[in-house]
Amino acid sequence: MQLTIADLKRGQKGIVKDVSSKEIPLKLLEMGCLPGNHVELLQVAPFSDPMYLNINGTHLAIRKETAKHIIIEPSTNE
Amino acid sequence: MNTVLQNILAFSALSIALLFLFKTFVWWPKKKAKKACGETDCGCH
Amino acid sequence: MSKQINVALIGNPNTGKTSVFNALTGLNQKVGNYPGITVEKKQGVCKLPRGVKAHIIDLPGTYSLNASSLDESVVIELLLNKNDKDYPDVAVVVTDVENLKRNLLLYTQIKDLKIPTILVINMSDRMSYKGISLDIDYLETQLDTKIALISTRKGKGIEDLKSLIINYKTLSIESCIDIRNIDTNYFEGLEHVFPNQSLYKLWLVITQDVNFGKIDKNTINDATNFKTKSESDLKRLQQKETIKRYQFINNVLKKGQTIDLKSAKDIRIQLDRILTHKVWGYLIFLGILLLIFQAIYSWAETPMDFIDASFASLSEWLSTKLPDGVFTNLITEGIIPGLGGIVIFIPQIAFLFLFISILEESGYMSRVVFLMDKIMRRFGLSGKSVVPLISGTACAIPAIMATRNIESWKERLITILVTPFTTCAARLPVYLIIIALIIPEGTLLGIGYKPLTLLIMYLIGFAAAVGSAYLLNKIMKIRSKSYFVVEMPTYKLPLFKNVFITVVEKTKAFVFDAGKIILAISIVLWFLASYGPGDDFNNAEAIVTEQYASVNLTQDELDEKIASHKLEHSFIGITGKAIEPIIQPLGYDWKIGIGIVSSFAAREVFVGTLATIYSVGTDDEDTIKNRMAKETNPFIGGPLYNLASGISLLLFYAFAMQCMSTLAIVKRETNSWKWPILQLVTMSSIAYLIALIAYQVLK
Repeated sequence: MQLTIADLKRGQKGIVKDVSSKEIPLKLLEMGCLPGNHVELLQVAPFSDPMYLNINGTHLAIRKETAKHIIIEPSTNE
Repeated sequence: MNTVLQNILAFSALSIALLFLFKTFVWWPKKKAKKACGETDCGCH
Repeated sequence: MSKQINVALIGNPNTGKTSVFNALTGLNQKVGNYPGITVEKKQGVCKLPRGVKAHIIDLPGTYSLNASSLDESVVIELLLNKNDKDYPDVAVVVTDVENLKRNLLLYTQIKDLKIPTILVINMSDRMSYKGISLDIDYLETQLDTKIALISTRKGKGIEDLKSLIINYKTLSIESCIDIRNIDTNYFEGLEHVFPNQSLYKLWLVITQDVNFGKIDKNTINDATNFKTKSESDLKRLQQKETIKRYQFINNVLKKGQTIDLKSAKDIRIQLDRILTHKVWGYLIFLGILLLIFQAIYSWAETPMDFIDASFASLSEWLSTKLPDGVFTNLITEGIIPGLGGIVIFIPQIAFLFLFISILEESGYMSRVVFLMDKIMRRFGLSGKSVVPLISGTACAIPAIMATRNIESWKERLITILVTPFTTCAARLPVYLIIIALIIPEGTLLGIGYKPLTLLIMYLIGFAAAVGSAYLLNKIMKIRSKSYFVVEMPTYKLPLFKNVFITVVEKTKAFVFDAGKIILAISIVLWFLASYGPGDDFNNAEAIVTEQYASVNLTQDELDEKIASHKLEHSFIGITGKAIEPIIQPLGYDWKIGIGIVSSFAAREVFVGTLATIYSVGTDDEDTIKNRMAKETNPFIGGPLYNLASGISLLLFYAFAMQCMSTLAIVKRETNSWKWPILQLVTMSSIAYLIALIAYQVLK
């Protein structure tokens, strides 16, 4: 199974690999959620939803259902 | 100020008030919404 | 040649665009609406050197030209329409030094429209704090523009920006990205059909469904029907475009910007650990709400008492100074008490706007959105519904407009439908005066009974909103995709100037908009109360004198009897008596009934209406509150405003949909009469039932 942002634990990092899913709004890409960019899960609300992320220096929150579609690979330098 | 003038002033105030209320509450749907959102998803591209 | 330069301020949300606007224009600004839609349009004038004036328009914040809301489409529509009188001679793109990379995306898009573009890098005072250094010369060359490095907080760089604006003609209008590179075949085909048009503009017309000049999406589709793209193809191309733009930006910033992470400090992480914490986050939010309500109540009390007393004495003073007559009576009995009913609430409304603008300016509101999303979704709302529900405590109209950034139509519609339940500032006048009359002094756990009652009224409003959202979510069958993306900006100390301007502008708008209606209604009501048909009204003096001939009354008492007899047989009295049977079970008399009926124009009219009714024909000038306290119940005796009727009235106002302006906005935002009519009927029926039950139980 592929790793997605929804699988991250608080404080974990990864690198965005694939954002081609239709469920990902263009707005998210425009805010920097693009392949190759670093992503870190900073904080979660109760029930891990929504998720508060730092993607490529932008701090934003998305719902878990969107996070499930953003495929990542584990960060190599950790 | 005599009574006539007082009456004129008072009733012109009344006419202005009525005209204003009419324009505000009865006549307002004139403006046409250009691209307001209907029953569809609004602006989710 | 006209010496006015049209300037458009464009930028992502949270870049301090409004601060730049305020710095350029000061209080020299005007807030209106775009024609036909209710997007706020802020314009101002800035004086430049050499006698040149700049007409500055502050466009809604947007992350890109790919509009995802009505607010954002305003930006693109203006920028594509060269014939618009506001079409900018020069665009000023405002960016935040900390988020330069993301902010530049919009810059590259604006630049590709071939509009002269100035780049403003704001919050430069935070550069050393964040370990950022910029090579401005290099950036100016690579981005092909002029850069103004400014700090609105420290007031630096504004003059540089002004001189760039004045010299806008020297700016290059070359584009950053060649859109052809995204899909060579497709774009060359387009170019073939429309050889004289900018390809990027055509591309925006295709993807955004906006018009420019005579060209709209359909003309393009018709002309290029040999290769119309499917929706998903278009989206793929938009993704590709975004990636291309970021590649360009990354290349520029690789050399132009260095970030020394070691010297960067960020209090955001530490603060967020507490403020978005699973337990502390919610407790702090609750604490902030409590603070706001206690403050509104206790801080505003002194200025309000002062205003109330001033209006009473103004009225008395005028009646002695002006000559006797109809017009004088209209002023002292109709207009002044009516206006007093709205002016008195300026302190509270200003405090409410003050708190809301501080919460938004500081960046805390986004944290509330984050904390509340999961909970709100249970009720069919979005975390972003919290903002409308909180600003609904000021006024439902801006609150309903603030629903625009909710991505899902269903969540947005439900938010629009339930927002009018929140306790808006217009309900405050009614609540406050009733609470002052019926709730005793005393404290519970250090909080006074009166503020506590007010807090309960606010909670009832929220509960009604959330509860009906839950029901609507179960009933409504609308399938809609829900996206939720919310930026969490850095925390900022709110700029005094920004907060001040917001409070002044919003309070002014509220008071003048409502004030005009109240003034007009007061005048009409005064006439209806001062004139009447038939013998009963016109011969009131003779009738009453005869009736009380056997009783020994003083002249004052007799005058009072005559006045109330006249009022009862005036036009308004007859109307009120006609509806009395409907409202009598709620504990009201016909005068309150008139107040309620006129409140359907706007709630805050209630106090003014009663003030007008109670003062018609009386000579003694008294405060509204004292007049109300003197009223007696015509059916069962005792004070008219007692606990039972007071609570019933409070609850009626909590639930009833009594605001024409809100209904008009709902109609405009939903593009249908169905929803506002549903609101009017349902909310008002609920209000009647609950008020009825409350009075019957408590009496």
